[in-house]
Amino acid sequence: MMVTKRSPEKQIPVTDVHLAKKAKLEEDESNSTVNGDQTIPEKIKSKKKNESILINPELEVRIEPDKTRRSQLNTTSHLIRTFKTEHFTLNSPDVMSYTHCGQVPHVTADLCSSTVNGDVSIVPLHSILTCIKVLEKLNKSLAEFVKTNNKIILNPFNSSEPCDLTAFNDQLGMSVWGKGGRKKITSKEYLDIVKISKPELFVSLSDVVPSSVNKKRANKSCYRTLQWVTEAIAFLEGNSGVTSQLLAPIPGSGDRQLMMKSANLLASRKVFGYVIERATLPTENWEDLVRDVVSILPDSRPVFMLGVLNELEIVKAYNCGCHFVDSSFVLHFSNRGQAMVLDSANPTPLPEPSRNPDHASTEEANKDFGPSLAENIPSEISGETEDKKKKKRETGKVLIFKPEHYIPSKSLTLDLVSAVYTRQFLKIAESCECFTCERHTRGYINHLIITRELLAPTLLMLHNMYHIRNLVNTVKAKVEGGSLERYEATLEGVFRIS
Amino acid sequence: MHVGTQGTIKGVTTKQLNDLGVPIILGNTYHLGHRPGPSVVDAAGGLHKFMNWDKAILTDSGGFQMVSLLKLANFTEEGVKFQSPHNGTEMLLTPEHSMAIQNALESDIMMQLDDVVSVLTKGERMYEAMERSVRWLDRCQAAHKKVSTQNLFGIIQGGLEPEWRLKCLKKMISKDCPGYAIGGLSGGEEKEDFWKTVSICTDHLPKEKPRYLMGVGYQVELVVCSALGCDMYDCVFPTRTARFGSALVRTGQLQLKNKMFSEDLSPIDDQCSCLTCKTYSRAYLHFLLNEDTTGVILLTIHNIAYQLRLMSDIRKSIMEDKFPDFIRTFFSTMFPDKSYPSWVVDALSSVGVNLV
Repeated sequence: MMVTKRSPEKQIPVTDVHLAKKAKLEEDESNSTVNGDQTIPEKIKSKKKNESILINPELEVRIEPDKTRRSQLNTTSHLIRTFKTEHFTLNSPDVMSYTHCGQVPHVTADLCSSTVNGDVSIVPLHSILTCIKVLEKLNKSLAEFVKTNNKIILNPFNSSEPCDLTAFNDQLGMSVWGKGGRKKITSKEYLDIVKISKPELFVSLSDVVPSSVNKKRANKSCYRTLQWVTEAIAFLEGNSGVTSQLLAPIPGSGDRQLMMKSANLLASRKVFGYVIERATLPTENWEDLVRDVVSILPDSRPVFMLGVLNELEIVKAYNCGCHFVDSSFVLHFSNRGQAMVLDSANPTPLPEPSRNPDHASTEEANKDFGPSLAENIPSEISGETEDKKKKKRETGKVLIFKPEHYIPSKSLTLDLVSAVYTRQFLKIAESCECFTCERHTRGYINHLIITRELLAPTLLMLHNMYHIRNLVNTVKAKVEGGSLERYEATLEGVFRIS
Repeated sequence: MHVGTQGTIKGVTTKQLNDLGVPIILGNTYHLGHRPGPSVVDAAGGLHKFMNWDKAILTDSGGFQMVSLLKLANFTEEGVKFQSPHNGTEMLLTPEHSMAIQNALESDIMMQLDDVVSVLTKGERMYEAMERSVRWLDRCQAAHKKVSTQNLFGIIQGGLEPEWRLKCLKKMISKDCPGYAIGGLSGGEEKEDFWKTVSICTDHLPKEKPRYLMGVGYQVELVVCSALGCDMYDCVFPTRTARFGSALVRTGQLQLKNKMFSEDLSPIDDQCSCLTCKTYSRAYLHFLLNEDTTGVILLTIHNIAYQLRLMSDIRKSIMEDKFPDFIRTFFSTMFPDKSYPSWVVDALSSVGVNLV
């Protein structure tokens, strides 16, 4: 590593290219086009803008996927693994709990059995910004402060948010949207936060941009992200007391060439694992791309895909060789009043919800008890959005959430907000054994949603989290049986019909 | 009793309430009659089954919400006329309706529909309200269909006028309800008037039947009114104040959103054994309250635990014949400078407990 303290910024890209060359030599021994790389360093020095290296046509080396590894990504040897360090162990495949400040949103610790919470928590940076000073003063790690036994992954990007909010990033740092609005976090500030909060793992700053941006912006995001990774590596080398492990985000905003190049550069870096933000990938058909990218990453390191949008995407991510996914989407389902009902062991499409004519009109039925208090319930539901502001005031919670950007078009859920469920005193899912299904009915949750009670998202979180953990167990079994690919196809079929 | 207006104590599951040892909760007839509606609760097999709660439930009559929520409520002999807050049409809640709804909810304790006027109302209207409440108790008793499984309580009215209270007491006691509530208080009256009225009622209510003081729930009031002879209370205070970030402790309240707690690593109350105090620091709750709803839920759990412990301590000290000592310790902790409110001193001395 040739990074000097005096002018790290200018040196970094050169180092990148050196590494790229080295990695490439190691990876593609038989590739005859290697000789073209020899002249690269001189060319870089002549460039005024360092960031141009990624778009420099002279550097258009095509990085090919590793075909042998690519075909083995969904096998037991790749997916079912234990990643050990001196301080912690991660078992894959797993789904990591998305939290706010280390706390599963809406759910208190006593209800968080391991079937809900797992043993790894993702903490988005925005949720802990206000307590960093306190942590520093009290000399407490984040885990000690929030009293969690889970391993913590600190992620500067909030995977549950649309990434157009990161349009405010610049080369100095990343924009994080917390309670008081946008806050610019520079690489140095972020690394200080890592040092103070002592998470087991942290994702370095990344300029996450959606795949819809133009090539120039995509290039910029790669340049910035790679630079921040380099800074994080240098930080870890300079602070031997910091035991946090680094996860490197793979930038490239869904562009095959950029992502492959970034992955190739990062493959030889000293990092613990890799993160692919779902938000940077195209809406559909990203599987081949991810498979290609994962195939050229070192086999010994875990790959995380953060921000998957539904159950099908979880299965797809595993099938593409990602070891870990997160549960950020579960919060959105729960906040919207949706309960997941995919029977993961035996996936079948949902039957059309039938409206029981006897129960269709609540108003009619309530008339027996005197007309005075009977109201038309469906009209209440439509009023829900108007009360968002009120809810915000009541709960003190800022919801930065754009449904149109985020809702996957199809998913197997019951919209428990619908009046259809008002009189269904059944479990959400017949065979489910979660906290909610053991105790409460669809009708009760429907009532809680309509009256905007705090308990509604709590019960739905408990059900939905349990549900996706079940799914991961199924996936594990399918991987062991070598039938993950077939399972994905079945699931895709089910999702298409529903 | 903790108030679960819409069939849930805000944010807390019934399992957590059970674990805390909550024996009874309150549901509001007005809210539940409105959403999900009595027919839905009836179809679910009653409110217990609807919300999965096997301990006791008390439902109010729905009359109080007419006054507190609806500005346009108009009381006539037939019932309470009010404008629907949703479509503006005029509607009528009669004692019979109230009973029908509460029968559908299948609560363990039902309250009669009473004619509620502000406690500060003077003269004729207050007297009329008292008289009418007595007549409505008759109609409620006649309309009550599940006498063997549900207990219908009468509500003593009469404002701050001792004579009217006595008159109401006499008439209602003759109707032999399974329990009685003291109504119409906690509406902004002077504390002197408040405790004297409570005292008149408890002096005359039958000793073997439960006495329920409606709308009371501050720590100090609970201790004083227990000394005056009340058995049951309801108040949104502990749960509502939790939603504003306030924790109940033996010395009063802690506003955890206050910056002074941001670096305080001690629990809310080191003697409290609730989940919140056993696990979390004030500093963390201060931080969490500003970030996520979970903070509110944790604080609600603590406040419920606090109030349950306060009541069980009162019960225990009465059974051990040490209640006066308990009262003195309680007040010297709550007011370390001994600046006791004069009404507290007067009320307690009326039952032979001297604070100073």
